[in-house]
Amino acid sequence: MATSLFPEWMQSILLLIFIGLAIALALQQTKELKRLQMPTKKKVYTVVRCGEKETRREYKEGDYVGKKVECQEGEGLITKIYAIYPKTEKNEKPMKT
Amino acid sequence: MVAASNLADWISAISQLLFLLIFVLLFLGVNQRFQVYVWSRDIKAKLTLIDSMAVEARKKTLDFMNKNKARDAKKLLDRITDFFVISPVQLEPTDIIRRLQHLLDVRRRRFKEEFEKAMPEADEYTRSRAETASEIAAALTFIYKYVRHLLIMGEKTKNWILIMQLQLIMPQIIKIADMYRKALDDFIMGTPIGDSAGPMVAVRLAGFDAEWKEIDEDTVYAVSEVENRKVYVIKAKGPGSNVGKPGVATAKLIEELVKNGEKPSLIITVDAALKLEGEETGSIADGVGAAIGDPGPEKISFERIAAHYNIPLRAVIVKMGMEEAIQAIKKEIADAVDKAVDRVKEIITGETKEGDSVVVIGVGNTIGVM
Repeated sequence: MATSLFPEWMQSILLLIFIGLAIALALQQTKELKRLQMPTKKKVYTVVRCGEKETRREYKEGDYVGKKVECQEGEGLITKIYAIYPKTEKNEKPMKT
Repeated sequence: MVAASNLADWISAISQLLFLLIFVLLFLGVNQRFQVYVWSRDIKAKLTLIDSMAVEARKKTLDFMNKNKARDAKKLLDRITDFFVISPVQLEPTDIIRRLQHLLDVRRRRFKEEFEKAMPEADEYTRSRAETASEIAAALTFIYKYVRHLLIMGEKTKNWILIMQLQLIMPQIIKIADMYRKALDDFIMGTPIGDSAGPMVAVRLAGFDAEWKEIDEDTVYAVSEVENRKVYVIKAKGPGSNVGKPGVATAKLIEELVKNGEKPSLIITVDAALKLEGEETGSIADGVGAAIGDPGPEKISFERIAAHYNIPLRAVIVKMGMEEAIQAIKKEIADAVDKAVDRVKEIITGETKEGDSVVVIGVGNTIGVM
């Protein structure tokens, strides 16, 4: 007479759990690989100083810090360029020291 | 009822046989082979991803070069991809720095000349971006080839330890490859990167109207003033992708100043530096020594000239992650530039007297900075 460690209903549940876990792992890996292939959705801005005031606009190819550009008040100057990256849950938070 | 009992007995017998078989196979190392198979499959999947990154980088670089009317861009990129530098003999360390510097200079000139020939109609700024883009494409291709080499070698020699180590390190390799892939777009666009923090500090310190003069290959300097101290500011020549020769240029400038009876009282190097995990991006720290991450010749030039004339050598660093250093500059880092300028000024006023001369070097890639 064959005996089993687990009752039949539990065997089915265990089987389902294992299959579910395997699928979840495979999906997670696929998701991770897809994430790596996605472009970074960051925004790059150029800060232009025109006279006394500073304005921010989207970065254009050819912009560089120290470049003289035209603006409403006459000649402006690019003082800063920076990128803002989207915040994700995975972005690390600095530890409080 | 009897039939069901017979079936159960059969299943039990087969299970026991299978268990016995598995037990015997365990001694023959089949489990290990299966594990190696699973690792190899995982490595192969990630290798395909690295390959797609390398192909994409190559395509983007070729598109950029062709857009700027490059002649035979594909042939040039093929050569750059396989280009190598053989490190100098280390067994005999005498004059190793001079030999290494010579090799690096030859490499730099070779690249520059090749791109001048291939892109005669493009300006220096565009050519430098194409040069860096091709170096990134070459780096990605190298990563792909090297991982593939290790995998094939591990499979050929049945070296499961090699395959296991490779599988364990794959997430880090993928991260590095992904970092290069993302950096490529920023170099093509010409945006300043995290490593440009040093040159940005130099520009802020010298002022936007400063007159920059070339002092060495791709390296410029300007003269400024901080609280009645004469400040010589050195940086790579912008706005192209360029790191210049800050150490050699500093030594040259100091020799000239000493010759004219104007020995500097302080040398300050400002550079981006790798933060430790958990540290805040854009935090500032200062210390002693040459803040520069070159293979050696530039760093030793700073140390030699400072030691020779007994000039204090100070360093200010802007902390950031490896990924942040080669991608478009984050707002936190751009904001930290002002803090770094303030720290440099504090050091100058605190450690020198009025009328003294100081040399400040903004170390790093000057892409997107004048």
